[in-house]
Amino acid sequence: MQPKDPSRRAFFRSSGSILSGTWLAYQLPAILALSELACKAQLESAPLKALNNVEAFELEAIAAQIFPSDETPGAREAGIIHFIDQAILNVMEKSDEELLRQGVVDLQTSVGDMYPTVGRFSALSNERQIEYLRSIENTSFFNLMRTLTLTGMFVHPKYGGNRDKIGWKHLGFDDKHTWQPPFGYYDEQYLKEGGDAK
Amino acid sequence: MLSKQTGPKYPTREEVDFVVVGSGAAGGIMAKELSTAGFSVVVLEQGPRMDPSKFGHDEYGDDEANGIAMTGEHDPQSFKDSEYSSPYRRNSLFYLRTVGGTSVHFTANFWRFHPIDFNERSVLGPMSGTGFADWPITYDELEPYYTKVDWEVGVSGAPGGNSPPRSRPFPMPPLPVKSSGVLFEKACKSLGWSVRPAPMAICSEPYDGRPGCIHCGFCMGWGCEVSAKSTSLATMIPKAEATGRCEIRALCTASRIETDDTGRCKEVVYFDSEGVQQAQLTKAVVVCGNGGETPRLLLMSDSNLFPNGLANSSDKVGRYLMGNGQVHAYGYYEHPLNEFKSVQVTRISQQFYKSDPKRGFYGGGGMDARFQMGPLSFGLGRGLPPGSPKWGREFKKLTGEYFNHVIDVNGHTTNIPMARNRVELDPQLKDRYGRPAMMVTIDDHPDDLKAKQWFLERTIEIVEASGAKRIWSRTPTPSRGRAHLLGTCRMGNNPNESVVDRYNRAHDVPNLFLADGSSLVSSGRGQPTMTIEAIAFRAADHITQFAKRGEI
Ligand SMILES: Cc1cc2nc3c(=O)[nH]c(=O)nc-3n(C[C@H](O)[C@H](O)[C@H](O)COP(=O)(O)OP(=O)(O)OC[C@H]3O[C@@H](n4cnc5c(N)ncnc54)[C@H](O)[C@@H]3O)c2cc1C
Repeated sequence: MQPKDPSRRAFFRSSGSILSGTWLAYQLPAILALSELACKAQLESAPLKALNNVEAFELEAIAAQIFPSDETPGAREAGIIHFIDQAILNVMEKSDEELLRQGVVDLQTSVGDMYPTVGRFSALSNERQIEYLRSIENTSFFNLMRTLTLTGMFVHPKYGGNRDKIGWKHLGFDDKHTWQPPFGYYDEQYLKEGGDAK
Repeated sequence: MLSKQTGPKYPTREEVDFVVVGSGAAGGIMAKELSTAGFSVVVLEQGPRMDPSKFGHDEYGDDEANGIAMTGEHDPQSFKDSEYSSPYRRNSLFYLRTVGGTSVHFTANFWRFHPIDFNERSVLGPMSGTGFADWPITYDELEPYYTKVDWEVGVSGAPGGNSPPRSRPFPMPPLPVKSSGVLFEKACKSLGWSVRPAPMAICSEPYDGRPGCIHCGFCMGWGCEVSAKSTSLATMIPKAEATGRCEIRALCTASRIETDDTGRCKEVVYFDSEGVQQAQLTKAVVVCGNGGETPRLLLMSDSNLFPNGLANSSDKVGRYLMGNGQVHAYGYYEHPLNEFKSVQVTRISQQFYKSDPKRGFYGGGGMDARFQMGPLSFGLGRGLPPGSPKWGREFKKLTGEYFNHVIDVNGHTTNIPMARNRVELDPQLKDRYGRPAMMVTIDDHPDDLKAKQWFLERTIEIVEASGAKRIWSRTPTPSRGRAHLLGTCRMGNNPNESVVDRYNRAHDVPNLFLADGSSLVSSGRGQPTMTIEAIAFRAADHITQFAKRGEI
């Protein structure tokens, strides 16, 4: 694991998304520069280093709404909270870290006001959590959480997210280095119909 | 990660025959051709030299990790939305800085231009307020060099379907068709439009000591770990070094071309890998820095003799910046396509290549079918139809359903050369060496947007005819950035209207040659690199003859 390096962190900041939909590296969010962060996916039981318990509970609950666990695993199983913890520790801009921490404080205040008997977002019912998140959907805090959660879901596991390749399995993506035709249904049919493989 | 340089080492204070600036698509060819012809060559490349066997599949940013892509604070750009607006900090020109240049991680779609691209101005007549012009050379003059690229760099494909004339067959058969190609081909046929296998600078079988493609799917934006992609790094650079006469100096950034009292180039000043200024003496200079960096270097090389920048008596250096338009229509299909496997494109249509005055605007293009997202960019929600939820249960469900079931039919279009679209030097902004940053203006001719809109409608027709279950598209917008960097030192017979002559020699400086994307007079219809490489082979041929005859 490398220490935070300002020149690296700056990388994604200055890059526009010109080829929107084409050149992957350039359309990724300006939040993390994971480039030097080669931290291993953390075990479920590993202690968190940057987040305290309350923060971890609340943020994990949000992540679990963004990418829920249902018939198939979601953000919890993919270890998103560990991914976020590692990101704060290693690569996240100070301003984003503050946004995240302040977001938890704000969350607790407003949930406390709305539901005095519950107090915590993570203790709300599923419906209320969703309802609440809808109301903050356009805040920079929620957007940051969304980006972190989804990045942690689908990024290469070497960056400490996507535990057991849960995100990739969900999509049906397989990172094998070699493939042979037929690649998909329609080219397979085409060959059966006697089409030219080339 | 970095691999070793293997050629000779020339002292900077002894004159070599040629300094080539840039080792990309064009520079690699120049280095190989000139060294093979017997000349001593030093190639200055600002980026590092990468070991291809270490190229990986990390979507978040192998290139960034290695510090080679041009995104950094260390080489900023400024941008202007129009001629008279003020610049602001924004990078809009994209290329790769490494030995092999942008060819290392380009998508490798490898279309020849058509004959019409070279004389369209004569065929269609003038277009007022633009730099629309014929080339000083014809398709027929360039054809032998296209063929040379086919065979020396390595191109796979098959003729047919409106393709331009060729004097020799493709050296390799096309790559195997993907589901996107099948759907695209069937749709084009049902519409009565021409379609053919995509010509690709990727080996479909072992070729010239390199293996055939292993279909890993990581071409666009990645280096090829088996060197099946025909990049300068995989093809030309090793051959240049094997001559024993070519030194590739990586991590060396040219900052100025010095001339003598007679106005001839005498040395190229550069910052070496330690950031120390050096200067390589040379008999002649060939700049292959691409359509962004080549004009920048000339403008930085101003002097008493050349107050407006080197080779810029015409005031055309940096002007007529072009790229290509790109539009997207998407289809969702019932069965799995698994488009993440293999090369990005396997079928193309050039049915509407020519501009048709009946449409009421200038513009032509080509189309293909592809899928160009990795799991991360798709998972961030970019691959879903507009209006899809952005998080939650339904979002999760859609990402799982769509990733392997979507294709992106692209239209690639012309870009009219405009004098106002240009690369200049920013008066304030500097890079880490104190070199003035590029200040880029992009403000397209209105016909460019009309062409995009028209092609979007054609791509939607293809998706409709292909049996998609769901169809959506992106509304075209004016271009605000480019990855095809073209036109900024255009070729021409008239020294008042162009920067280089028909042999890529600067009109103003006899021992200065410019050969790369900057030489192009028109934009073609997408995929300009085949033409950039053919021009490099042709220029190298003429430079060799000039040098042997003592005419440099
Ligand atoms: C993601 C992506 C996908 C693409 N896909 C395609 C495609 O499918 N088909 C297609 O035809 N084109 C494609 N292109 C465009 C293609 O890569 C370029 O057209 C081509 O590489 C340009 O060749 P060039 O020789 O002009 O410049 P480059 O290949 O960019 O080479 C220029 C080199 O010069 C070096 N250099 C510049 N200035 C200096 C200096 N002052 N000192 C030292 N070194 C310097 C640079 O670092 C670079 O290595 C793609 C581009 C991108 C970014």
